[in-house]
Amino acid sequence: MAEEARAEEIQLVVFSLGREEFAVEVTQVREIMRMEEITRMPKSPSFVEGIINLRGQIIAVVELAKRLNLETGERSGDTRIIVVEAEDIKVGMIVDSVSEVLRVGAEAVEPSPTLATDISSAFLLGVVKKDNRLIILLDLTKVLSLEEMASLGF
Amino acid sequence: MDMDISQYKELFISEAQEHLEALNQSMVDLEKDPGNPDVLTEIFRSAHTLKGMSATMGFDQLTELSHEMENVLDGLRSGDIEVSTDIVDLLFGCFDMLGTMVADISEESGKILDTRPLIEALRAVYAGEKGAIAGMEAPAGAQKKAKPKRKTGPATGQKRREETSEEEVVEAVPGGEEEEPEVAAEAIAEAPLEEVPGEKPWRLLVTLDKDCVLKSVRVFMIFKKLAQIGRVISSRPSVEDLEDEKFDRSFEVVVSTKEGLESVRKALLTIAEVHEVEVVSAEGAEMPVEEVAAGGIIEDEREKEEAAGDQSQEAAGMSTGPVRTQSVRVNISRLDNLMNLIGELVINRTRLQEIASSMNIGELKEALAQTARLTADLQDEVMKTRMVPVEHIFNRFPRMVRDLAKSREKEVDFVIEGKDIELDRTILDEISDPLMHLLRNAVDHGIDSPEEREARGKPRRGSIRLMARRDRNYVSIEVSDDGKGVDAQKIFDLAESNGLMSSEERKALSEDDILRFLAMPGFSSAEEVSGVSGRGVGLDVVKNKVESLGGMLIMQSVKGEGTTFALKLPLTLAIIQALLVRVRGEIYAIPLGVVAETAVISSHEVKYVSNQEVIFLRDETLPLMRLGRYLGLPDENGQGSFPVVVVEVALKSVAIAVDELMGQQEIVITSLDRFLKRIRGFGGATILGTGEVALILDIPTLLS
Repeated sequence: MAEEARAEEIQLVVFSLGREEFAVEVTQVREIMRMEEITRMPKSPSFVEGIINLRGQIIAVVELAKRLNLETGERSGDTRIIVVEAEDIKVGMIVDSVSEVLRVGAEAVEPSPTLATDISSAFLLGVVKKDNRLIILLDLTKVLSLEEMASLGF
Repeated sequence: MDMDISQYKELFISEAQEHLEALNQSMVDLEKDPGNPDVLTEIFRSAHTLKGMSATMGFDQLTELSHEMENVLDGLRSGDIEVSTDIVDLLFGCFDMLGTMVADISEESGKILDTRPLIEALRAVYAGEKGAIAGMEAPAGAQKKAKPKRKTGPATGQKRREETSEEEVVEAVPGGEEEEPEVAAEAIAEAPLEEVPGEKPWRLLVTLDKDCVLKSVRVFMIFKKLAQIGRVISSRPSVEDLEDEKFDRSFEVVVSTKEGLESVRKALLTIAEVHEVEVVSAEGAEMPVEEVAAGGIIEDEREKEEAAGDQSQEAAGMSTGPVRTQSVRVNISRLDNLMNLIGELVINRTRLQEIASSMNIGELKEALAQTARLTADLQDEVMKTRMVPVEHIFNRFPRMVRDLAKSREKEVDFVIEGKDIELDRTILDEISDPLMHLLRNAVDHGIDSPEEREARGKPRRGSIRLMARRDRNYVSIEVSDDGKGVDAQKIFDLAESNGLMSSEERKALSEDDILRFLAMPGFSSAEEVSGVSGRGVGLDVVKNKVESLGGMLIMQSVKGEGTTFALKLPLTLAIIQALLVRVRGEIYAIPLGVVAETAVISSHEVKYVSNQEVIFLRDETLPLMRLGRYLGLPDENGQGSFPVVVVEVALKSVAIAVDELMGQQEIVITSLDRFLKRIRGFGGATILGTGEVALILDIPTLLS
């Protein structure tokens, strides 16, 4: 019984953008790094901040807040780049801060209700409610989806 | 001692493909020069090897077809059958079928192909020859030579195959037959044959045929056979080395068996391509190694008339120690990894050099200069390992040109030059299709029909030339024909009527500009409608491919005289020379291959022609492109002068205005992933010595 319960547990990397809390599944996260020099990528959509050298590999860095149509926060010592990988694409996402890695049962993820947030529901996998917190679980394949970008004239 | 034959499949496939390529190539040569005995021998040898390999691997269909083919080839070689177009076509058909079978094996599709029609056709040719011979007085020599085959008669395919596979051992080694009894006698004399029954260890020296392929497979079979009759105690070189083919022709194996020496020998000799089995000693008995070695050399010299000096030296090396192999097959991904690592090393070296010069430590600089030299050498060497002669892809073209010319009822001489020019493997793989395309175009639309040619006072036979040439940092590959050429005016008419340019623009065009239109997607279909010719079909694809490799496609054509397409390709992809430029603080790299020159221009030299900024450089008017503006950076209100980089792609030149020329540097190209590739205008990125990332400008996109 105990094992079954554990099998249905998921781990989330929780981070914040403005006053909202978001999460992605830990299995999709490759690393979390401090802000570093980003080379601007001309002719790219505005949410693409630029490119960085990740140990010899060139990856794109996106301003996640812009991607989700939220207000962009100030850079601070807490600003992080979360490197995620979905569908073979590795991308860095700039977030205001990374708070924790959370372990929750799969049943804790509820289908996203119509939220009082500006984020297009297309990007959401669901929400996790925990101790008065509302954590929005992002659908990375959508966030990084090339089709979505094409629709934005990318 | 566990070996599985399936692991040799990959090796089999690649070797089979090489043999098929060689067969196709030689057959085209044979058709040109039907009587040439060297070419026939070459064909026969390849076919024979292919058969042997297939039999070893247990691919029955392949074996059967190549066996039937071999019969006909033997007839051709002995002169009993005459080379004719029909026979050449039939053999080409067989090669194709064999190629399909090999491909099926590779894909493990398990398909059973219908080889009957081909086999029957081959038998008919073979039988026809027999009939023809019966009708007239056959030359005594030919009769004798063909005798072993005759004996088998019209037995079933299965039976004939078995019989010939025994012949194989004899056939493959010239003079092997006479030699055998002599060596055997020697072996018997040396070995204590009358020893007591019961298990007894023997040290055997097994020698394979000199042109034995898939040696590791033979080793496998030998060990399997030995395991049936006794126990294998040890071997020299080790089993691992034998599996890796780290031996020349012979190896020693100690086997413990109840069987007599002669039956052990016989058992091993039934395995195809085992040339000789000698008893070195009964284990424990004294037998100086040197003697064995000497014997090996003598034997070697006796049978290899064509053996060069270094080969017998090699044989000598073999017997004294583990054998060095001359070449190793390496997976291309290994080389890619190696290249990537070297790329990173080069980056780090540059970085260290920058640190050294900023700290100004003399000794460090010196050591780094040495490191720089070493990494450069290392880079060169790795680059060389990736280089492959262009013949790897050229070899399949003669066959294709021949077939196509035949089906189009055209007469074409196809000439290849510069086969040995080398290119990076990756580039070579990529240009195979474009080249095939250009050659098809040349036969289809370039070369005129024999009648048309005669009417124009040209020789009936057209000529198509495929030529590779090394040109400093580039390899140039040209496809030229002496056919109809392209009527530039007609193309311009068409472009104008399709609204692709105004009559004003037309005046500025020269004949060299036709490619611009021909290579426009969709332009060709317009052509077909107007009945000019399908010359442009897919040219846009060719052009894009070449440009994506950092190369250029150039076309020259004279109406009535012919057309030449030239592909200018970089030697290698991973590391290129680039010019680094700075605009508003950002650094970009421009591949040096497209840079024609650099100059410094004063602002007042910038003029306007129909709202476009231009500059005059010597007698040329060049459009000026402000890189900063193109990249979405704010204009600088700077006055005075600025540097320009003149780039040239496909005969189109543009002056690119930048803020600063930072100099020429070797850069390692890191490709952009799927996500970033959607952004057009960049050919990749590179990591500079400072660790900064700089984008590489894709000039062709920039100009289009």
